Amino acid sequence: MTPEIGQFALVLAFVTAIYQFAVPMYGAWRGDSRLMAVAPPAALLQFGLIALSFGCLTWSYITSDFSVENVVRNSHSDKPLIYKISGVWGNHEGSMLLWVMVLALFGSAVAAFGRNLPPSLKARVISVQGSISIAFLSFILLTSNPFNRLDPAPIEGQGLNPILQDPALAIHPPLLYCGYVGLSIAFSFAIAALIEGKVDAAWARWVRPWTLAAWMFLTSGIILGSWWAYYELGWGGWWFWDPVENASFMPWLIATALLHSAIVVEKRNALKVWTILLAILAFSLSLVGTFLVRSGVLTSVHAFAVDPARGVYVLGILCVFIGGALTLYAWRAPTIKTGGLFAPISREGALVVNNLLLTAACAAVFIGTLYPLVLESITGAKISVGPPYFNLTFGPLILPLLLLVPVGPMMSWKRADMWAAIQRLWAAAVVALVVAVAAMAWQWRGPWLAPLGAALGAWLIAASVQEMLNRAKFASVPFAVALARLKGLPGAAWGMMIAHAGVGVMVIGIVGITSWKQEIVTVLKPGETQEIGGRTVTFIGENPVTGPNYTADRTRFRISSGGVEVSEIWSEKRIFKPSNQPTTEVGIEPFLDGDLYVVAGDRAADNGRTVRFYFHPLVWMIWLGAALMFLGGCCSIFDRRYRVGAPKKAKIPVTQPAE
Amino acid sequence: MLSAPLLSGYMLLWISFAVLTALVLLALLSPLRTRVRDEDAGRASFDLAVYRDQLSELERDQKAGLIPDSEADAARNEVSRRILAAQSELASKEEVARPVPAWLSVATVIAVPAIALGGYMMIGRPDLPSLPLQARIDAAVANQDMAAMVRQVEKHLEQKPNDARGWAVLAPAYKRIGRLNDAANAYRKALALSGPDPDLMTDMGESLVLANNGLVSNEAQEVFEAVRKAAPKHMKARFYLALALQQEGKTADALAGWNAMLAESSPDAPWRSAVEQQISSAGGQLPKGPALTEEQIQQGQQMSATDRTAMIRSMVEGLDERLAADGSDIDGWLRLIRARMVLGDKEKATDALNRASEALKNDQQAVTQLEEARKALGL
Repeated sequence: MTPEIGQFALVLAFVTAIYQFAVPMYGAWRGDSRLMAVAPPAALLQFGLIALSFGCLTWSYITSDFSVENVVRNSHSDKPLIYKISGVWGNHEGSMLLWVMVLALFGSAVAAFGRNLPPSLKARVISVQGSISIAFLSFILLTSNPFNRLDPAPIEGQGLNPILQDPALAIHPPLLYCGYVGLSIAFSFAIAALIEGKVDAAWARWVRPWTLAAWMFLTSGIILGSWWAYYELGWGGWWFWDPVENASFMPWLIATALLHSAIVVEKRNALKVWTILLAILAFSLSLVGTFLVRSGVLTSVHAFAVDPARGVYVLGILCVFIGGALTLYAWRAPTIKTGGLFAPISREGALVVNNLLLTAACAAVFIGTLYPLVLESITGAKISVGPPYFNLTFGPLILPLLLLVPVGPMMSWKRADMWAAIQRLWAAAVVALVVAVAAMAWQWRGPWLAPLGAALGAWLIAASVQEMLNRAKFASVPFAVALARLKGLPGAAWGMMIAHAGVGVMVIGIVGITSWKQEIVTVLKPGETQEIGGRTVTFIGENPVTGPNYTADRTRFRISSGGVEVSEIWSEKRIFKPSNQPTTEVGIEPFLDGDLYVVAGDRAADNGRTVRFYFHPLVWMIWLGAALMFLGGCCSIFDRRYRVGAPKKAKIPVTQPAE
Repeated sequence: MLSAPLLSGYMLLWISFAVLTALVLLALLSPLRTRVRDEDAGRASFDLAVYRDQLSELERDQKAGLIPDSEADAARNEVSRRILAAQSELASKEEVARPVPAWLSVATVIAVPAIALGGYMMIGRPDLPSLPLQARIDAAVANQDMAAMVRQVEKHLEQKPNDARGWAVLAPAYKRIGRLNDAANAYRKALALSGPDPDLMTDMGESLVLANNGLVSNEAQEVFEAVRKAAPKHMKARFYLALALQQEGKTADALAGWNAMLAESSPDAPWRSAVEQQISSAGGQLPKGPALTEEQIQQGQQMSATDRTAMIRSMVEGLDERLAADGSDIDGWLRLIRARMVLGDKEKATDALNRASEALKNDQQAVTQLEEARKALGL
């Protein structure tokens, strides 16, 4: 009965989505406030129904109801409870259900918190959300029904892919989806604004926090995926320019651009048309990402949906929404009034440069991701575009951006003095120089570019700190006063500083792992040792281990530094029931200067074992950097202040208003 | 599996559907009935609220000394200009609450349940109750749920792997749900724990034969030999030993074995028909080879499922071999093709048909007959 209620609730949600789309849109067109008032309850109801459906599927997983095909395919009664639950979205059908649930959640958030939105804007936004729901609910019901039943029911399930049985992967998809789907809010606002031909003050006020929320989810989702790849796949890398990674990275880049351009809309009422385009692009790239992963056109661990019918359906959704949105944009964008003017050298100008570089970087990733697919579909030739391409295209675009990040906040709105802004950063420049020299001294044999990369990271961190100190006026007022001022600085300022510093921290981490990584593959017998990363690793031995749904050989290692034992780590080769699929569990010992990373390989002669040792310098800074970016987002999103950008008085008095 | 409590579950399901649909209709239609306040309908008033908010923020920041007075003044000017612009727009009201068109409510009340039910009936299975694993295992015996019973015994044996009776119960259950290798292993465990027992040994041998597509392997043969030593009158073991002889090509010895069985058993012995069919399929007693008719297969269906499979398989294979050696018997070919179809093996049926057409391509009448069979069976 439970699965059938879930099924029925899903069909009802589909019907509700049609209502949610059609009635408010018609009401807004007629200017009928009563019909527009239908939107919020419909959005809340839709979320309730999908949540009920999702709950029913989850219950089927928890109780191992093998009359549901989806449970049979992706669960097993021996699995620990957490992986029974995460199995719900560890497969194509369930993850699509999660996708629409998050979509409905965001729609109902607009319904619940949108009291300060003009009714027609609110009605249209919710209506556009409803149209996205229609597309994806029909996709689920017609091609990927999670509630398909089996009669007679098998007595046991086939299990979940063991490498997906991992805590990070249990929360990675929900976070990533919150990010992807959160961008639908910006999209719906953009479409609603285009239909209305007007960008309200409330429009700008809304788009930025929602984009910020989506961006935070995307950031944490991407980095969790990356972290998982680092410790679970055992390849010793953290980012592979894999198409699936790129699929989430592209919307992230555009969302980052949108985040910055929305500041200009918020504070200066300018860049409105461009911001609308970015909002459309950000969600379009989310859809492209969904298509790439869900259609099975990519072959990687994520491509568990190899079914052409689904691919064609998602492609259809893609064409309707992206094509429709861009057509609407081309038609309606010229009717939107442009706002405040600004000089090329100004905070606004700096944000435009940021936007252009981010968009260009995204285009580079887009081409690198889709070109092999297009080429294969036209000529049948299989090529792979790897890191060299991305280093050559993405790198040169992102480096100047990073270099310029500290300069932007130093400039004032409307018009600014570039040279003065750079001069104010002299302290940060000194710090960067010192770091470059220190890095060269520490790793004097290393690649030449590495110290420069470390200096770039230091430049970002130091400039962020300096920016805050400047704002608090530590140089000109007494220390206690300055400290009080520092505490009183708005959350948005703190958010920017922390996030920019986070980028700097991450840059240093990336430089560390790419330039100074050490790797040794060797065969060890119990008692033998290996030197790596300035430490000695001793192979203690191995013993069999039994987990809830696997058996394993655990190889144990002792790490000592300077003759003193520091810790013991282990790596396992696991065999999972019921598929007999092997996985490798990596042993990692984090140190301040980097991770010691041990992967057990195959057995060798005489009790020996092939072992791969890695030393990954400063890799923790990547995770810390991402955490800081997320924290910056938090500070900013909880900042309730809202200021109009304050133009600085020009040297020649200007009497003419800017608009 | 339809028992009384389940039936009420079925009712409960439809009641839940009705309640859900009613709630949805209520939620969708009630906003159409409520009164909408008109006072905040002015579009520009929303802009004004934002701008006033911006002004007060500015005030606060200036007081806290976060922005210099000059910047604050410039920003205040800009906001004030926007406020003036918004106020001039405020005069015109754009939205009004009009009476809801009657067709909308009617269409909603009809369309929502219709689409929901129609959609659900296309993809839903209201007849299937949910089957949580634990509840299913608990109710296994009541529901005659063989797979769940097997699971129940398996769980028991995980706790007590030395329970010989448990293995002896599990083995035939495995056999019934087609897990033949597991069945053989379970018999093996039961034997290891309880010591030699002719019946268990024979059943184990039979499982091995079935798991091996009807071929008597060396291991199975050894088991049957052991049974014959311990219990020379054990009919099933003798049956399979004769089958082994036939598969080795010693047809005469095999026939002798089966004939001896017939001679020793009473006329109403349950294995009689199986042995007789085996004899007729192996021997030259009938002029035109084995009479593998529909009737015989029907007869076979009255035997136990496993015996039937073994019997039919060995007979059909025998016929196939004979026709491969001498392909001139059109009736034999037709029987083979039909038998393959009855066993559900369309590929082999097609194969047989093709081979027959090849062997009989000069016989015009036979070709017509084969063509008819091809059409009739849809090959």
